[in-house]
Amino acid sequence: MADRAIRRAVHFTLAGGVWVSAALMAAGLLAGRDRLVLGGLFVLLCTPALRVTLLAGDYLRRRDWSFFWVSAGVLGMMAFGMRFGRGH
Amino acid sequence: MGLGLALTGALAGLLGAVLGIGGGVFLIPALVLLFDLPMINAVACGLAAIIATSSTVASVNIESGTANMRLGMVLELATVAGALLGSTYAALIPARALIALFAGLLGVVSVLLWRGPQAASPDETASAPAGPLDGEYEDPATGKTVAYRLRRLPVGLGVSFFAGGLSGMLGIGGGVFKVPALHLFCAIPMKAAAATSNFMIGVTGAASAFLYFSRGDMLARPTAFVVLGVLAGSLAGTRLNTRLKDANVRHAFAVLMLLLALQMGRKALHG
Repeated sequence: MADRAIRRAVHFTLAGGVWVSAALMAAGLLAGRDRLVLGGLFVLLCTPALRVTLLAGDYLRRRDWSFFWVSAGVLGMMAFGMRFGRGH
Repeated sequence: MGLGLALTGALAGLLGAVLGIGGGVFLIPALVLLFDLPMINAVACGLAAIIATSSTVASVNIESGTANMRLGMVLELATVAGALLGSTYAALIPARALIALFAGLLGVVSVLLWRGPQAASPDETASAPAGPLDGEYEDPATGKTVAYRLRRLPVGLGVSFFAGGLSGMLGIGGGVFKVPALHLFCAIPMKAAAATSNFMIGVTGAASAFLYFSRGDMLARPTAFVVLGVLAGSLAGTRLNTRLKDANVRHAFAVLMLLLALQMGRKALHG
């Protein structure tokens, strides 16, 4: 994927994630359904992780191992945060 | 209460976009002082808000090429580690101590805001990119390509770790520390430093926010109202496109933040 293409893909991932989450939260608030609101919040929290995954995939495809491992490290720490948080 | 939260979020988003420092520093005192939200819930709410604003602004900066994604990813290793540490300890620190810490932070931010952006470093356009973390972008204001080389990466990593820790503990983005450090110590041009910092903030916020979300500290409805308000406010602020250059207005906000710091300090002392 060319540099411009990956930038566009990241742009759409971030913007799309925010708007999907906003739509879910607004619908949940209007309909009085907390599950939708929580779903919207979860989508919002996952959006940056999705962006890191997208970049990790791009580095892997280019065989850019240094940056692949950097992004994998960031993803690993985020996953650790999710798992560690459940333990509390 | 929902409308009040949304309006507060909108105001914080607007101020954050216009001043270019993120809305968390306005949002969290407002939630604690006006809505009597416990500090831990206000921090969780602030984290969700900064993910929303960061993702919105970063999506634009990435497409334009201003944000240095490779540098951002490397610095994210430090900010996420700091954020995990900060958010873990936030649950163990008494609420009053967190409020006092936030009051101190507001004091520092008000001083930084009063001083305003530092002058550009003389060598910021001197070198063509050579290493994988160097970068270049086209400045829409001048139409010229600005190229730069990264310096003193360890300083950038250290400041990013510190900013991540504050983000996880206090629910702010930390850009107010990262942007000047990247510019002054790492020789990154101001616009690229701000865009790269913003690019990182969403990931830093998400790393801590998952912890708050999993612990049940993120109250669904109040957070949703605030996030929707912040989104509307930051979009309006971006459209205004008037980053305040007028020193008098910036000074007025610095005084406002100092007053908020005093109020938060009073709440920390007297409850």
